[in-house]
Amino acid sequence: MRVLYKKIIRNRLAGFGAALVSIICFLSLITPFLGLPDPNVIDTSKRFMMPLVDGYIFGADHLGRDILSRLLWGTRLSIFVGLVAALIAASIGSVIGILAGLYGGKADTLLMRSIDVLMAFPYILLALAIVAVLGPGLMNALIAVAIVNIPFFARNVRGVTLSLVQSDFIAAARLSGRNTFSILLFELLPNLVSVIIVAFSTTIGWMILETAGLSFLGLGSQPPQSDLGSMLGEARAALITHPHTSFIPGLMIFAIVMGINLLGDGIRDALDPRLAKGMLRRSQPITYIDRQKNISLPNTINLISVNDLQTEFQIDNKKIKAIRNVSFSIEKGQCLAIVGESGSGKSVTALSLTGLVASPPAVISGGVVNFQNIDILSLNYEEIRKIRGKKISYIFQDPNSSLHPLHSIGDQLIEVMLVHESKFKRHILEERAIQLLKDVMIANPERVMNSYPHELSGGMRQRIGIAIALANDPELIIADEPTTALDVTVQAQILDILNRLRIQRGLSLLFISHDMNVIASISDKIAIMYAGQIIETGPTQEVLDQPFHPYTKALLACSPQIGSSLGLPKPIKGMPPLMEELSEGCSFAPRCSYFTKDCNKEPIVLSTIENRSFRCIKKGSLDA
Amino acid sequence: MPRYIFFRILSIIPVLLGLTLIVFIIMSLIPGDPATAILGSYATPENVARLNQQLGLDKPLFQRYFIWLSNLIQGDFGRSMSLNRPVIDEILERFSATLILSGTAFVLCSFIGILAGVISATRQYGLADKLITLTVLIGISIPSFFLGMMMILYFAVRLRWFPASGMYALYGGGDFIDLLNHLIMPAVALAIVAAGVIARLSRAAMLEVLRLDFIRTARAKGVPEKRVIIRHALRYSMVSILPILGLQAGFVLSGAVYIEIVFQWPGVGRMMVDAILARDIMLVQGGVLFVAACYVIFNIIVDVVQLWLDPRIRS
Amino acid sequence: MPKPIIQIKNLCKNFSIKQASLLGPKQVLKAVKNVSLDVKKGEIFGIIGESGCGKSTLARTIVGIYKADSGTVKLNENSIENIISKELNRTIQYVFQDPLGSLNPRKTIRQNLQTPLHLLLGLNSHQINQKLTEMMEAVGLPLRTMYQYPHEISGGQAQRIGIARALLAGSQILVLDEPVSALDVSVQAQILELLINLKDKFSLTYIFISHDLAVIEAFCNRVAVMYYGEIAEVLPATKLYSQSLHPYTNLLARTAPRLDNEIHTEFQIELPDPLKPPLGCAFAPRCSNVGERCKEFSPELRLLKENSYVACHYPTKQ
Repeated sequence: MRVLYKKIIRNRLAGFGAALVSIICFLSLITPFLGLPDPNVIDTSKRFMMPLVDGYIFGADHLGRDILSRLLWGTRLSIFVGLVAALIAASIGSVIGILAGLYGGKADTLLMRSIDVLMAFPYILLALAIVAVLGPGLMNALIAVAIVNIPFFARNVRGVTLSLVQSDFIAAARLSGRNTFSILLFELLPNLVSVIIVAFSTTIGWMILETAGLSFLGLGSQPPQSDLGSMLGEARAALITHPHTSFIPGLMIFAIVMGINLLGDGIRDALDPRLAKGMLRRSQPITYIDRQKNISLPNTINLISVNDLQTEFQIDNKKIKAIRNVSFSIEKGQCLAIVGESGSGKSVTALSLTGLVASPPAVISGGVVNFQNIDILSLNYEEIRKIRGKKISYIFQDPNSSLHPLHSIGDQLIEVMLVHESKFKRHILEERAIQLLKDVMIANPERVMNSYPHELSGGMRQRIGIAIALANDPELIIADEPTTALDVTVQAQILDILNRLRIQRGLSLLFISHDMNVIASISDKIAIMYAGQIIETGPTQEVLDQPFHPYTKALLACSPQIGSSLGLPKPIKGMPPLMEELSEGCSFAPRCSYFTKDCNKEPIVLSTIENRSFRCIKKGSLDA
Repeated sequence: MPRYIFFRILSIIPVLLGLTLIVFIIMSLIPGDPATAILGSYATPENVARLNQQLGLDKPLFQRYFIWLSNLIQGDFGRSMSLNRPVIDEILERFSATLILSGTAFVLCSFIGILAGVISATRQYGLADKLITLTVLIGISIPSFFLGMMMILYFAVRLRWFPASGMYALYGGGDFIDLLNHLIMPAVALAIVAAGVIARLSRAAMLEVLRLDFIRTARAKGVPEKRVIIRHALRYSMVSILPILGLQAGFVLSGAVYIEIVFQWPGVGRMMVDAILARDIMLVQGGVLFVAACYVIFNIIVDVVQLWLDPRIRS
Repeated sequence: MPKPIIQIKNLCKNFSIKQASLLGPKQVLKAVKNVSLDVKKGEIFGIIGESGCGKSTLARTIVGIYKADSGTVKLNENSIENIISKELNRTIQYVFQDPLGSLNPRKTIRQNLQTPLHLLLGLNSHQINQKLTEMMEAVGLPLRTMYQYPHEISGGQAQRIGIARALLAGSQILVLDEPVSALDVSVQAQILELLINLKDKFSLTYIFISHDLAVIEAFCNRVAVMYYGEIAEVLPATKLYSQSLHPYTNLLARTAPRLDNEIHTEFQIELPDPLKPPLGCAFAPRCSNVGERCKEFSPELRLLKENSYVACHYPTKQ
């Protein structure tokens, strides 16, 4: 609760809203004790008195009544009515929503169909119809506004309830002996409260506005009782001659509603976990690059060579290093596999090469990506864009989410060619797209050209992903866990296609995976990452046969292998370190079975033996 | 796809029936006796009974609903007591005015709202975003009737740019330019609130979409950023913006009631408020039904556009 | 020979798919079709299959999260329909695939864990404290973890909590639905080791569901291979790699990645549409051993060799 309060106050606009609402609420609470003149006393001699004359701070209205007094009493009434209407709508709507979501089936259909019919009216029509039946009056306007807003709460709450009811923790609670009622009370409600509060705080301003509106039309509060809406309504006749009588109540409604809206937005933002995680920050087309000046570019015979690459995440003024001094190179036609567990930095490495890490929060803070003797990180956006998808292309992990769901397969294939060479005619590109689909073994490419991703299986979608990557005959393909989301039989097929096409076309491949068994068959070279560093690299077969780093050895021992009859895999004790709490020395030291106290002394440098290198002070002698 | 549209159109029948049922129930809840109301309190019991029979009010509620419904289907919305003419004639005459006003406002608010939302999202936390956010905030907090009054005061009375009220000039008007001249202020006043809501939700939708995997794919393909924003992000956001446009159409129709009063626009909204104050139930009932039915049909169009936008619901 | 602790007979579970329109035909997805299985006391019984094969649905039906459409599940010779739900929950428990998703995000770990002790076993707060302390030690977590919220702990820790929650109900049978699939390999091995220790300590029986052949082979005693809602083969885990009889099991074993194998290919991999089941054997279109009968008759599960049951007209000859 206190965290919530702090978050709202820290948000300047919300703080302003909170202050505005507090002041207005306080004033309307103490109105009876201010000794103001009676708001309903008519004094025709004071008609349309201007503000600040004769002790009338805000002047007098068309009947000579004191506007300040009427304003405060009216505010009191308007806030009260809006609040009550919001409470009624929120409670009835939430109950309907919870019942529909919890019981589902017929109850849900019946309740939601009725809500749909209510929503088929533009809201004011329904309010007008209700007022027409009940007759004009503030109480009736309140009821009308409450009823009209029930659907909003019912739909919101139902949606959330429905997704909660299907979640695993509700099933777990049932298995722990809870019945439906106790699930509702102890499991669902605590999760629904924030949804209801947000819905309430973002609509209450609206409801005050609506009741004021009905009063403005003469359908709400009736004389002599008057809220802000009817004040404005009565003043309208004298709008041109005496604008102050309209201006003051109008401004008050505006102030109340704006204050409440600001506060409501603040509450919503404070309760939205995505905002806290920075998930709703707009990602830039290219990662921020903030490197030291004067970076030398050594010539290389490799297709790509990466030196001392560093990327960090800046979250809440904290810098968290995601990858630290990553260096590797890939020759033409070679396949390098980067292996590591989640959080080891392997994907960030892959995405950093062409500045694709989502930014904010990511910043590339150092290093060189030397691709065909050009430092990619020194190029501007347009130059990097021309490399992406043309010379370096990507295949992503999840084929369900990485294709555009609303574009046809043909369009997505043609687009990648079109944005790099616009001079081609569409039918030529179409022919090329069909040929690409044939290359990735799609059975009837003409039909698939016109289909959409949701119509294809996961394996087919990933083959489309490969076709897109191949479209412009790139020099380098970066495949980021391309088979992780797939079943084994499909995985085997994707690996086969990828490998065959790569060899046929002499492409280089950077293959990212967490699975030692997968990379063994496809890669020439392997780099193992742990806590943002490459801790060992070398020719795949040699590393697998005789690892030099204790982590590589342990990783091999804990990856189960079918048909190996080795029994249960051997666990590595402990957990990977948190990246914000890295120590000076070896990051693997706390989990290492070869640990000596020298391991924690200083950063471990890369040792090299022939074509292999590793970060370990044991220098590869791990047999003890 | 044609099959879907067919079923979608078929599905409005129960909604329309539900609509008539609700209106009928609400209206039959009205306390007091319509016949007495029409004839005045000095009517003789015989006269009341005769009128009741004439109006079919002596039959059971259930039967009355079907009589009423079959009349509706034949275009008979009853007779307005205060105006002494058929309800449908009055509505048709006034509906075109409402349609011009809310249609213009709707086009304005959709266009401005989406544009502002997209600019705001792509320049998140920049100057443009802050300005738009502030404008939006004022827009959604200000009562449209108050805004309308202030506009009259400033643009009509003080600057004399636009006429303060009505749809056409009393003398010598009646052409398109004259209509436009009268239309601008009320349409803008009406559009501002809805534009604020649309801008806000479009911004949120865009920000969410810009974080999705396929946007990263588009960038990895080398698609220029402008094309990423429009062809990839906005295209996808439209799927969630479109239902909001459907909802906002309802808000525009609702707001039109206030605006018609403030600007003395001769539309259905003003007619209904007058009818309520005159307790002319037939006219209120007809107005509610007619506008609600139009709104339902509008939402069908929204659904069909949605279908065209999103291949996933087509299959 | 000991009586089986779980007997499943002709179990079927269907889901009705929401119709596209009011007048459209009602569609039924047969997720589990006619499954029969026996699990012995103290056994680790594996269920393997690819996504959408019905293994999770089968598991959830066994513990009573879903209600079967036909067929029976008997625990210790009692049909689960006749066991009152609290007794059922004390007998058999379920460990979820997504360890974080199975914890209420608004409650501390302790509040999440004490529900079964309170509601199923009726313990008082002193006994609850004692039980929780013992269990946290058993699953290898420090006591302070109890006072954290789910979003503050890691995936591996959350899975330990999930296992603890299942064990706290006092049940002898655990159904583990892909308990290690979401975890990194180093943590996965820790959880597997923990499960073995707990099994010995509390003399448990496991049904272990996974899509990972290597894990199943290393961890289980017997395995059922599922394809398209049906059991294709039941065999000892040691035979999984090289001595399986069903062509589908052969295929899984061949395509499973190994450090030393070559990239293998099989091209016909599109699965049949689950809403329009084919007439004969569901695997026939992908099968290398397909014969005439496969396209017309669906094969029944039969005992072919000692301990090996197979549903195939033309099983692989070993």
